[in-house]
Amino acid sequence: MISIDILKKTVAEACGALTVTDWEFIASSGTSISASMINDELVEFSSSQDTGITLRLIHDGKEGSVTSDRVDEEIIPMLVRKAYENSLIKETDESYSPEIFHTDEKYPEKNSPSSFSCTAEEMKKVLSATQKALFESDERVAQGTSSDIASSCGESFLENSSGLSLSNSYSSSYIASQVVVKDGDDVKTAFSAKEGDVSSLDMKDTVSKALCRLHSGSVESGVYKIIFSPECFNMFLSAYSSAFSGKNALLGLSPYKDKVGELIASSLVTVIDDPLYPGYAMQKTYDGDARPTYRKDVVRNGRLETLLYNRQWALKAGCESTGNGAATSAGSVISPYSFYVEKGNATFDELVRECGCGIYITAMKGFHAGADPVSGDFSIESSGFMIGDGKTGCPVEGFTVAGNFFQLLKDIKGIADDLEFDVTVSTFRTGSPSILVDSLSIAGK
Amino acid sequence: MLISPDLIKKALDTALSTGADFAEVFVEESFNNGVSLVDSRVDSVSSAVISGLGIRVYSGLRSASASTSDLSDDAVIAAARNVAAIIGDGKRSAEPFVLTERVNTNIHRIEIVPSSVSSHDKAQLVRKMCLSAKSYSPLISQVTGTFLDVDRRILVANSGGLLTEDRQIRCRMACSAVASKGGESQTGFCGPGRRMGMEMLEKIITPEEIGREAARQAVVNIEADYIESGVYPVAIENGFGGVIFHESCGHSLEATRVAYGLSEFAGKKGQQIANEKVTAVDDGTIANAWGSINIDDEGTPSQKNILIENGILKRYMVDRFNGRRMGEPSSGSARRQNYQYTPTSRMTNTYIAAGNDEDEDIIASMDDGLYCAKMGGGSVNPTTGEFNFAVTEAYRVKDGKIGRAVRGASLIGKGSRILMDIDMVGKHMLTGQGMCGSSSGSVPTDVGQPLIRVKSITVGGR
Repeated sequence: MISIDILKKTVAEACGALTVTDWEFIASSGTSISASMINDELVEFSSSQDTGITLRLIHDGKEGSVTSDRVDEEIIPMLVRKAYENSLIKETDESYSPEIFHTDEKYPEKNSPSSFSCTAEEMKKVLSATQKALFESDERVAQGTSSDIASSCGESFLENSSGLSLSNSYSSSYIASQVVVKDGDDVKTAFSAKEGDVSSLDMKDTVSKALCRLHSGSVESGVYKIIFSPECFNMFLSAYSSAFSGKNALLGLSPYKDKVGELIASSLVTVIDDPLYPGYAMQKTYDGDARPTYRKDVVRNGRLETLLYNRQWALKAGCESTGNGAATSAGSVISPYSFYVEKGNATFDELVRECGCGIYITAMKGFHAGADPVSGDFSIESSGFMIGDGKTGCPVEGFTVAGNFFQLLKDIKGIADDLEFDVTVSTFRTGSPSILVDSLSIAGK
Repeated sequence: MLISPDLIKKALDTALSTGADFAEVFVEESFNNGVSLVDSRVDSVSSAVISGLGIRVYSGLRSASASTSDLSDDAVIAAARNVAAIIGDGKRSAEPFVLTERVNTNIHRIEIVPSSVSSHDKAQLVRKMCLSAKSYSPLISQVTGTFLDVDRRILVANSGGLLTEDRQIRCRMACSAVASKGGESQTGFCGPGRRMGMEMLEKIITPEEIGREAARQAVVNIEADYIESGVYPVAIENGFGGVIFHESCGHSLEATRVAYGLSEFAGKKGQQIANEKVTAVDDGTIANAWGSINIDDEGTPSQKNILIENGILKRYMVDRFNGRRMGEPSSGSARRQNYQYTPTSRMTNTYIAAGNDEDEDIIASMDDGLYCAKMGGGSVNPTTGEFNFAVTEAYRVKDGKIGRAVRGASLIGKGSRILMDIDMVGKHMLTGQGMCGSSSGSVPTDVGQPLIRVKSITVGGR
């Protein structure tokens, strides 16, 4: 990528040619390598060199934006012209006047440790060792078992016509394994992933997850108490995080309009949004509107404390931005960071004892279609284990669990201490402990 | 050309220099534009340039790939050196080659290229759609609308001497409507798309019709009761109902999984895997269809592939690399979201072909069942065949007659079982548009079918 100084000069000149004086861009560059092994074959090795720019300008009180992954002196005038044209279509909005931000305030600092990164040769060795350990851990581990590994690093720079200069860098690695186990005609799969130290994925745990699903039974339809594993409740948070967007609330696309200060969940529930979650490689110190980021309680002991805002929708709602703007080709949109349910005090075993009889759900699929973020209704394919006499029992599959997420939050009866985040290299991720919910509908046999 | 043939040749030769037996270059320049309205006001206008190069080499059954968004000579050759260093440490073994340009047949007439229409005019079309939805019923509380257009130019060259280009123009208009009553909200969606220009909104469906359809669904759902869960016979309507085949079987017929035995249909070619009433096709050659491609992202011309004929598995969808492992030629099925993804076998326009049953007979055959008028998306685990998908508009069927609307249903099952349980197939095939996600990213695909009956399936609800 061309130097930031040349980029600034080129953008300023291109804007000047259109009499535009207010502009801002976020330019990024990064590299990544990844490898895939199926059985004992290294089948795919990939690398990439990526660049990108998100450019925003203000003309006649209206803003326009554009993105490109080509970043050079030749394309900048075209991008500026496109952003300018896009600004012309925006309608004047009395409740929002765009600005190019500047502050002398200090921005927070990242506190993530330097992340584990590895070379191509190290990747091959880790993959070989991982696959070997998977196959050696049980004779029922079958052909088709695979592992993927990836390592990436990059940096981004925010520059604007108000003289603000900010930067952010990251490096991250992850490993993921998909285990296939076979016993007779019964085939099951399990997935495990880890971000950070790629040599520390627990192979035996991954294989156990698949093995214990073999010879699953079915469930009688009915209403059950449910414990969701962290992995499963993370999917709920991901599907319904949009309900906490201040924009969606104002537009009637969430039930939380004018609900700040009210109880919207069980008093056990605290939901936090943290751009600087300790140790996470993808921490953000400033948002897409150049505002400093900060940790905030979204729900505290069941009470809605705040919705999430970028500058535009905070102005419309008459409140302060929560630093949740993300710069896109369509301008600033609202996005959470590490968005998680705070862990409780109970151990998982204590949660199961509290449940007594019910179902422990460990795998769910189809949230993108089976969960409606506006109505809150969901009906999701699931599998897991029966719970009886306060203990987990036989595996069960081939059923759906259905309900309404906004009601589910009120029906939470217990939260364990086993908080886990989903594994991603994205700024937005979700985290949850195991969660006990009273009465959800199960459709089985 | 997106980059000079001399640079492409140099990159391919560099990639082959350490012993790879095949090398391929993919170059892309795409312009994606979008206009969104909320509450009849322009909410966002987006423009994105996707530009870069992917290079890939094979050595037997191993592959290495690299991508770069920098199309300078130095960056392109660095990417080629990168894959060469990964794939081998020997000397060149591939035969010398000469790049020969091929011009492909283009069956997709574009009458109004979207870039020739101003964003202002596109916004006006979206506004018409939103107003149509809003005026459908006083129960409609919110409407969001979007128009998206893509102008994608690709170039594919390989060490077999191929040098070819394609230009892919697509448009899609989508409306989401929310109906509210008594503190409850329900949604409706309509999002047609085509591989054609703005004429789609005159020749296929108007903005007003799109808005009305989204609003109609939302109003039906706000008045509906929740479905009682259970096991029912189910009639699934044509159009996007075809997602049932896409999820329950289509992904399991992709070489991505079949090549490694990771599909319940691997090794079953020539065997009966579906009811004899089922003939299923993946056809990337349908003029102006949303999922159509003149060439795939490895440069192979698209084909009409009969996957299942009268219940017998005839063929898989195969890309060049996985085809090596399977001993099969490419079926023109290699696709990638963009140059950053490694291509693999994917669907294009996939449908269950028309059968001989009358729609009335299918409904009349059910004493106590479910009629699924509109489907949402779904997903599958191809290894186990377990699939799920959401029903967005449904009605109970009692004594052979369609009755009250119900909401909140999802259908789950195993692909191998449901294919055998499709026991009635209607005569009127129709397609619906979606974006399909898999390891090579998100690509446009059509799904389709006539009205079908599944004799028994688990329906999730309350």
